[in-house]
This record gives sequence, C-alpha cells and structure tokens, in this order.
Amino acid sequence: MRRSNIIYHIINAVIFIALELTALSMLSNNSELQNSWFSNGSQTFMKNIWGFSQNVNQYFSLKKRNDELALDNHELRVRVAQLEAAMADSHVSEIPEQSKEMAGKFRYIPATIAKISNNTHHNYMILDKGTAEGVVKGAGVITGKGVIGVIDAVSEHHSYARSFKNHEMSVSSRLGKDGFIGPMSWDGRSSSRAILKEIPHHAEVTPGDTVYTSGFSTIFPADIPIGTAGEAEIVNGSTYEIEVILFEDFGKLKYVTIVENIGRKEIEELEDEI
Amino acid sequence: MRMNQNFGLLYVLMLLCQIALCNYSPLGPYIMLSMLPVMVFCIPLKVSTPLCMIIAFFSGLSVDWLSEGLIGINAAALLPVALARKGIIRIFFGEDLLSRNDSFSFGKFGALKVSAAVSTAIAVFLAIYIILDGAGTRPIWYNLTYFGLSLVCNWLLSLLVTHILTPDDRK
Repeated sequence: MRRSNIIYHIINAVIFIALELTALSMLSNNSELQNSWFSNGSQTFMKNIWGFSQNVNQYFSLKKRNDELALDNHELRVRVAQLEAAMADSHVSEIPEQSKEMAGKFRYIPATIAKISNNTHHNYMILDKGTAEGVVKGAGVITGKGVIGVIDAVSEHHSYARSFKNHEMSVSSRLGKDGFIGPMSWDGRSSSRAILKEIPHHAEVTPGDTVYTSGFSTIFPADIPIGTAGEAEIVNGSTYEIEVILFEDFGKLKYVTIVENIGRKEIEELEDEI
Repeated sequence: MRMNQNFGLLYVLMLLCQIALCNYSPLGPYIMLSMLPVMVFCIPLKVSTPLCMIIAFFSGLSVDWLSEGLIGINAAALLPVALARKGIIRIFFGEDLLSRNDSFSFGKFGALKVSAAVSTAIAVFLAIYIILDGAGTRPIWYNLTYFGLSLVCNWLLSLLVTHILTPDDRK
C-alpha cells in the first residue's frame, strides 16, 4: 500500500513537472518580458550552483594545493640561496631597488579566476584584478606551469583574458632550453595538448623534451615551462609539427599571475615607426 | 453517471463564460477575475489528480488561446491548484471526504469552510498568475494590491461558481 502510494506521488510529480514546464516554455516563447525574466533567473540559478560546486571542489583540493605551495616555496628558497651564492661570487652586494611586484623587465600581479570557459573553441576567463590594480590590456596571464592567456579587456576591478585554449592565440615557444623556436597553439580538441609548429625538419626532436616560452614576444617572459614534447610529424616535407602535452590543467585553474612587460609600449612604438 | 455528464457540461459552459469574461470585461489593472481555480477545485474527487492536472492544463490553455492573454500563463497557474486540490480538501474537509470520494458543498460543510477552502485554491492561482504576469518588473505594493483586490472579487464569484458546480447544491 505504502509502495503504491509512493509510485502514485511520483507519477503526480512527473506529470505536474512535465505540464508546468510545457506551460512555462509556451509562456516564455510567446512573451519577450517573461522570456528574459526566465533566462535571467536560470542564469542566476546556474551561477549559484556553479559557484557552490567550485567552492566545494576548492575545499577538497586544499591539501593538494598546500603541498604544491610548499614545494614551490622550497624551490624558491633553493633558487634564492643559489642566487645569493652567485651574487657573492660575482661581488654584487645588493639588488637594484624595485617595487615588490617588479622582476627585471616584467611586473607581476597575482590574480584569481572569477569565471572560466573551457569547453568551446573560443575560451576565455574573467580575472578579479582590473585597472585599479594596474592591469593593462595586452598583458599576459601565466602560472608556474605554463601560459594561460592574454588580457583582452579591462574594467576597474576585473579583466577579461583570452585563454590559451582559443584558436586565435599562439605563443612563441622553444623546444628545450636552447632548441628551435616556433609558434605553439592549442590543438582545438584535447584539454591538455597543443601543437608546436614550424620546427625545421633537421631539428632533433626527442619525446619528453620540455617546451618553454621563447621570450621572443612582448607579452611573456622567457623560460616558463609549458609542457613536454610528444609525437612529431613532418608537414609539407619541410617542418615538424610537434604535439605538446601541457603541464597546466585548465580544468583545475584558480590562481594565476598577470605579467606585464614594462618595455612593451616602447617596443611597439618602435615597430610602428618602421 | 448523470451527475458526471452534468458536471462536464457545466464545466464546458463555465469555460466559455471565462473566455467571454477575459475578452469582454474591462476590470482595470488591479483586478483579475477568474473562475478557473474554483472550477478545477470543484472537479469531482473520483477524478484522479493526474487527470485533474491534464484537465486544468487544457482548460488554462484554451482560455489563453481564445482570449488576449499570454499563452501558457493560466495553464501554469492552474496546475498547482490541481496538484494541491486533494491536499486542500484534506485540510478543510477532512480525510473522510477523500476516502469516500464524496463531494463537498455549502449544505454539508457550511459557507465558511467551503469559502476558506476555495479561497486557498484561488490564492494559490493568483499568487502564481501575478508573479508570472509581472515577471519581476512590478513593485511589491502593486502585486499585493492586485492580489488582495482580485482575491476578494474572485471569492465573491467563487460562491456562485461553487454553488453551480457542487452536486448537492444542484439537487
């Protein structure tokens, strides 16, 4: 008796939901006002659900994140110690004074991703830093594990970045520390693979070689590790196209660094003159 | 059987009246008259809730299509009334009526109880109708005034409709 009661209630609920959704979709299709109200409501609902699931995911990945940060700290301490030793050897007593955000020709701003799209051919992300924090259009977005994107638009407190996983983006990259240089772009299919193009066919390509940023752009600093070389294929009989397995997992991205080349404007002005 | 046929005929006639009411009654922006929630509420209890929801859906749609309203709004507002019908009856008239599949009337339960039950059904209908109609654009005071005035007017109309549709009062 109880079981048939439950089935009866389920049937009632299913019929009610089906008919109510039909009526609401008719209403939405026949009136612009109701249509925009429903779509706003559904967007708000999805945003809250998405935000909640992101928070839960982040909470459960905190331990892993802590481990990664501890490792990063350790590597940085070793690097500082090495640099101090090198400075002592070359009789350099102090580092030229710069703002704490500056390092060489680049200025670094830490940022958090407020929204990211990963499942289209034109992916993007919204970062929580804008003009108020000194972000400018054309700055790069990186992490310790690779190139993430380029800032396309900036508001006071947010910025819009074109993701590396976007057909319109390519990054000048180097195969190995001293190898050949070519443009690298997302393969458009996988979330963790890219294609490094225009590597001369006489180059020695060993699967597993690390691919770095070349530094031959006004956007990204040199020597950021991006991924490892995979299979290589000769295209048109003249150059290699090399599959690159990316280090960064775009699906788990949350914290990034915005990087601005402080000499970029000058270089661009010089290029415009010619 | 005779009673069912009579109810069906009366229901269709009421539906036509409602369509005429929607098309030809200039009631202004603060009052909305609808017999639909009372009509659905008065559907005999031997009619199951799923069938009642289907009747409510098509009643609402026919009024939407044949009057100048938004298509789907009456259907969307009527469905919760059909779903809640047996629950409201249980609260106001008791489990007995439901188990006997009997019908309610002014004669059996008194005007106060019947009015309260019918007003609850109307309130459910009006709340959903007003929210969907305004689509978040109207101020709360307007919605409350619209709801209050419409509830009073519909309650008065419902006394007549209930009197016509409930079998004991027809004898």
